[in-house]
Amino acid sequence: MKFRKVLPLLLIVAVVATIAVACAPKETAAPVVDHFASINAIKKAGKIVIGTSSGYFPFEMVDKNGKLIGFDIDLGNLIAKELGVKAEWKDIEDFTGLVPALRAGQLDLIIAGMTIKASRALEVNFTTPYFATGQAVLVNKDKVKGMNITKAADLDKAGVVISVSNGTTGHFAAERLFKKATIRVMDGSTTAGLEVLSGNATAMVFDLDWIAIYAIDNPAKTFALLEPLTVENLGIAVRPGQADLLYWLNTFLTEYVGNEDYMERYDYYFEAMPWKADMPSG
Amino acid sequence: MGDIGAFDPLKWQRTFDYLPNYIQGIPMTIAISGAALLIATLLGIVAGVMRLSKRSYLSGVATVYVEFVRNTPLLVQLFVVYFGLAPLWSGNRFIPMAIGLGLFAGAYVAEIVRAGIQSISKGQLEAALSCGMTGTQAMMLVILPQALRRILPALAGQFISLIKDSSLISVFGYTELTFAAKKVTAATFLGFHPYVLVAGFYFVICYPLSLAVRAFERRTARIG
Repeated sequence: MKFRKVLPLLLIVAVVATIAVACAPKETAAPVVDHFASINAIKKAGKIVIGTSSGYFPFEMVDKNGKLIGFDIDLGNLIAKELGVKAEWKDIEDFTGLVPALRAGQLDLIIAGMTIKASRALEVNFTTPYFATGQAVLVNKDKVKGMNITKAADLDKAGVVISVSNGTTGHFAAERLFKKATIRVMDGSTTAGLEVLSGNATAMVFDLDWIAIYAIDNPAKTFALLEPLTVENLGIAVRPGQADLLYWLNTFLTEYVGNEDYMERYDYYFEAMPWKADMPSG
Repeated sequence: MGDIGAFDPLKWQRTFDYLPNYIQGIPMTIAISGAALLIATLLGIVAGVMRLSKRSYLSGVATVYVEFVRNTPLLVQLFVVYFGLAPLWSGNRFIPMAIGLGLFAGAYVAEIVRAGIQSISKGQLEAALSCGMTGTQAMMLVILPQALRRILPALAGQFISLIKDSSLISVFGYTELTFAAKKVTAATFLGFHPYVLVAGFYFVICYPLSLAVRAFERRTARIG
């Protein structure tokens, strides 16, 4: 029979085919690259841990009830809302402690009115700016009696003490601008401000918006020189290696900065300032 | 998650670049601790003797001071004294800081002094009184000299505590050892390495002192 002759051949073909199929390099399933690994990790945790340093009003401050409020706080909460997670705020008093905490994985983001700086960007990744500010000077009225102070340079005299908050751009600007005056480095803007208020220091260099509000709050003892010494952009800091999160935040900010929500928040914190009623009276 | 880089030689290199910064902090730490010890010793002797006074207003004042200091945090006391007293010395910040630390340590010295006085046997006081001394004379000429010699090791121990506690005044920007580390953190963004180094410095200062105090204690124990 013809069929009988063909059968062994068919069998051989079948075996070879089976072996060939079995041994053929398995078409490996394409590795599943999670292009949203960092964002998904945050979603899985159900929260985003954001570091800030309160006392930098109106960006981050503590109200009468001990609640963290401010322009940055609203921004962070909005980011969390958009991601569908809870915002967990870590208030670190010492501004210089923020970057190490982010690097150590204790934080997901830093939203602390942090100026975008190349030197900082060797440690963290910055988003695009969400706010533009500059450095200004707060002056103690009694300390400069008889001196005609109209601009920051007038303060660069021996015997003048300029207080700054350690590691801030005000600290760096003061060291660059004041050669004859003594720079006194304090821990945090709150103590640096008190140093001026109590007359221990003649003046303080810090972010413009903060200085402006501080001078309004303490008109009897201080005045402000609001001609900006520098122009600076504030950004959100992300731990390096999280391209998806960084990219998403940039997109978020592109939408947010300048939109209705943003302007409403701006009016609330920088113009109308109804939040002042909720602040502990100084 | 993040990396601290505890063994990263480059990070240590960057930390050690600032070595002069730390070295400058050492005399500042010793100066403020020494000044505070002086204040604490004077205050402590007065408060310690007052606590044992039969006049209740004297012992009352001393008790309030000692208890208040011992039951509130040092950092809070420092803020109160620094921002409370600083305007009095317009510009001189060393004085309010030394007073803040001295007030704190003084309460502990007072307890040491009180224990020292109580450790002198009653017979001494009775003998002094029976010689015709007044109570004050007996305390100043007989009891206190013996008590003070006995409490010297404990006072030296208090000095070691003060050196460590003085790290808290770094919040006022006083350029002592801990502040040196904070400055390095601000410049390098390293949050771990500068503090390990600064801990080493404190240890190098305090450990020999601890050994000396121990040797001192053995000696005074023999003299009795």
